[in-house]
Amino acid sequence: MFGEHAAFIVPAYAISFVALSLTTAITIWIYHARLTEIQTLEEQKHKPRESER
Amino acid sequence: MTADTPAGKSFPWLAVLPLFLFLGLAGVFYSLLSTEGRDTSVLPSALLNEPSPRMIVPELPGLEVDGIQVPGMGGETFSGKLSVVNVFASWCVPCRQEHPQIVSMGELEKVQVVGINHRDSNRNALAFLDELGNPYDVVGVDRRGRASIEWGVYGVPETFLVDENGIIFYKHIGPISEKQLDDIFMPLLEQKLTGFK
Repeated sequence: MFGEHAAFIVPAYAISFVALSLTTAITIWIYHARLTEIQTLEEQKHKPRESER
Repeated sequence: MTADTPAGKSFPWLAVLPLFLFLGLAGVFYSLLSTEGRDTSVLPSALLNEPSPRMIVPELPGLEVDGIQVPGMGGETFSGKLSVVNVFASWCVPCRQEHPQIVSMGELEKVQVVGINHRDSNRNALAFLDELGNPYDVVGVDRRGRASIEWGVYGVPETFLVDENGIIFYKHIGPISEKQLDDIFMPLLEQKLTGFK
């Protein structure tokens, strides 16, 4: 089924898949980290600081 | 991103889109590759199983065999002869690579080897054949690439097999390797020769 260049093409696809998966995972991880950060900040907004009490 | 979109609840679908696109494309390529009976080395050609173009392509001046000028291509070049038509040029490096295979086909009895010298100078073409040997019984000089267009040539080298009725029954794109000569060309030619006797 595969031709003589398969030894190059198949690893190229595999490397592309790994690179894309990693990039996607990092993007999602950063996205959730930012969401959590924003949520924490917004929760803190409603709490009066010690100095303000 | 407000407090009513809590972390972990929303999923960034846009971020996974490239991965899905990649997997989709790879899947399409794989399914096309693995389709039963599909030979991926064959490019479709409108000329397959059709009569070969009957056009006059002038001879290569100065190319002689036993003191006789090798003829150019004419309307009757393919009548009654099993032919190998090879598109070549002196500037084409893969043509050098496949030349021994063309010579081998030329050594077969009852097989005529026709060369289409594609966009080349006569001097360089003669030097090429002088250096590597001339397997051609007929050589047409296709200076402007007109004949190559008629034959539906993608690039140089290309080789066609034409039966005794002038019908193109096989087309090969790129240089012919020794393996392809043994596995494809020789069996096809021998099969036709057996039927031709």
